[in-house]
Amino acid sequence: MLETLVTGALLSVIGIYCVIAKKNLVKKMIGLGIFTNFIHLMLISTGFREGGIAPIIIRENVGFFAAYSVDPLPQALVLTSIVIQLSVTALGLSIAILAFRHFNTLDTEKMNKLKG
Amino acid sequence: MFEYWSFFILTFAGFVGLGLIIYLLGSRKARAEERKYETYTCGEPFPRVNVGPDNLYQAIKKNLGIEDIQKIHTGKLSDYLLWMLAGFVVVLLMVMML
Amino acid sequence: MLEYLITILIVSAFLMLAVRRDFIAIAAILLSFFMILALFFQSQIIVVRYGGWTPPFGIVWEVDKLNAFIGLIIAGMASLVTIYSIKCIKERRHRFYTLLCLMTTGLLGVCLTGDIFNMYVFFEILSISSYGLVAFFLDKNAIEGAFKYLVMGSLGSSLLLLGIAILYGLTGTLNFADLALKVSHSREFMIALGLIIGGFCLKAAIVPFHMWKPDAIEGTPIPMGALFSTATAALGVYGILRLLFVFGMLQLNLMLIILGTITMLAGALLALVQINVKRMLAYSGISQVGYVVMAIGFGTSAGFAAGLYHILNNALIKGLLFMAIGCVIYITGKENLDEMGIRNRTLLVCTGIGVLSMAGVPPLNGFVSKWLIFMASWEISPLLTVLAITASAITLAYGLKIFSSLFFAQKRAEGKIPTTMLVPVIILTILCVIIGVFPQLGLAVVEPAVNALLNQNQYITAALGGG
Repeated sequence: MLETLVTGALLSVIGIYCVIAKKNLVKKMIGLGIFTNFIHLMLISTGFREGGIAPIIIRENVGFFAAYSVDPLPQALVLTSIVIQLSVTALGLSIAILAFRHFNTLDTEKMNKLKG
Repeated sequence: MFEYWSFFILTFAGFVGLGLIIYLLGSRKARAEERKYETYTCGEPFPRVNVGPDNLYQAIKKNLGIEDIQKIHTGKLSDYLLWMLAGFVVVLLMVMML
Repeated sequence: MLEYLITILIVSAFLMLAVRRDFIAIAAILLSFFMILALFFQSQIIVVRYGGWTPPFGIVWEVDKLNAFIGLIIAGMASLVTIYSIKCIKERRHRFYTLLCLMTTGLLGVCLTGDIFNMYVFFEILSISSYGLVAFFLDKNAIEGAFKYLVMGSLGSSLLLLGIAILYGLTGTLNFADLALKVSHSREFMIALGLIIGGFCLKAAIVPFHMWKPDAIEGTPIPMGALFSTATAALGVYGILRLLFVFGMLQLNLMLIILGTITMLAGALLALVQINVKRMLAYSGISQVGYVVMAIGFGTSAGFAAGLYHILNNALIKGLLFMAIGCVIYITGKENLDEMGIRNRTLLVCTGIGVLSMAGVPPLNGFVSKWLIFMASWEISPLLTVLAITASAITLAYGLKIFSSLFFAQKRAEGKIPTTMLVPVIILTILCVIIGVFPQLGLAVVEPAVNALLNQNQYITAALGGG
């Protein structure tokens, strides 16, 4: 459990730093991906059980499976969330391509025509 | 029943009358040229101020500090994200303290 | 009947992409509006168990009066926008309708569901299709608004998912009714609640999460500006209300009142000095949502009634103003306030009623909800009433600025506005006047929603107790 928390803390700090402080649009999308990976890690780790086995059902001995497997529900939630993150990253990168065609740069500091 | 509605009927009639006046004013023909006469200011130079939509409320803008709030909305994404993160931290702190 | 709602909308979205006939999308969204209208007149709570699995092990959709109220606002605005954009969007209209069908799916899905992860999935469907809709015109302003909205929105949605993860880890269930039985008010639950409320505040554009909204609305087409300011804002407020409901109407008064007051004043002050009319209407929408959040923060049932009534009025008034401005932009082609003069009697009357109603002038609907907010705030603190009246005065000021720039300008353009663009404007104007003259009609819609909000037992027994 401790390794999960330390890894999670590191990933979240790196992810939020990349999204906020980097000026390149593609680096912001990478930071968003790192931050979403942190959240998926946290979701899966809520189903942790000491000495658990992978949640693939054993039809012959369901009692053993129910007693020893980790929680399969957060893994299903993470599968859904990975697909959602995929769509957002794809959309973000295609908007980055269009932004490069219009502004000739990927620097978000220079793309501040709409302000006030 | 009429006493309850009389207030609303009078206000409604007042605004319908105001609306009729505005409508009649608005249906005049648009002026093709601006008025061309000079204001006499005893020989002093007189600034020609054209009041458009950005400086219609200029006095309020200068006195209430709206320009400072406009400077906060810089247009850069990193500043927007910093404000959003500050907002999340403030919301979390206030929810935990109550 | 409810199970087929999402199926119809998603299938019509894909059919639009394949067949490219407009009537598919129009028929699907109007059909969904009539379904929600039929749901609104049912007297009991409707529960749909998907796949036959009983809650809390399966996903369940539960529609009580609060869901039906917000769903009616969303479906009504979506159908008016669909009719409006037959003529307003001139090119690539089939792609617009595809994304609009998906966005309506997302909006109605968040509103009607009874399971928190299902709500997150539909929230993401709504977000992704709205990122596409902001970037619809593919020019400089649209792309800039789109990537600003995308980065901020997906960061907010990720933090919302973190809150859901913490809630699942602490309770082990994802159903709203089951969560209402299992939550307590300890520190860890409060962190999850803060994160989820932050995610919904970003969608509703409350200060300081509002920064994406003026830039996004400046780049997007006008029908989408109307839908963002009315339906998405109503959905953000609904999310906050549903989370507070799950936590047993937790008294978060101070935080919501402070956020609401700052939003109300900052939005109104910034709308005074704008040149671009879409940006001004975006700030105006932000300010009206500030009124709603402040009214919800009072915590009394009068406050909840005032807040919910103001969401309804905000939808009618902002929809009316955005669509009227869209008619003017259709004729003149310009978006700056100093170049937008127009001569049209119908638009004069409709914009006049919209501006007066937004400012809170008596026989119109804005007056009723602002009066309820003033009465509810007088009991909490007279300072809040003074601030609300100040914001109303500033609202009148920039409303008159819009009105005079449109109809008292030096050069006024003439042109014919298509009927399908005028019909939604006239429908919204008639609704404004009717709800203003007979406020009992509006209260008959709002009162059951407030009762459903304060009554937790009915919701829980309908989901978990029934067979």
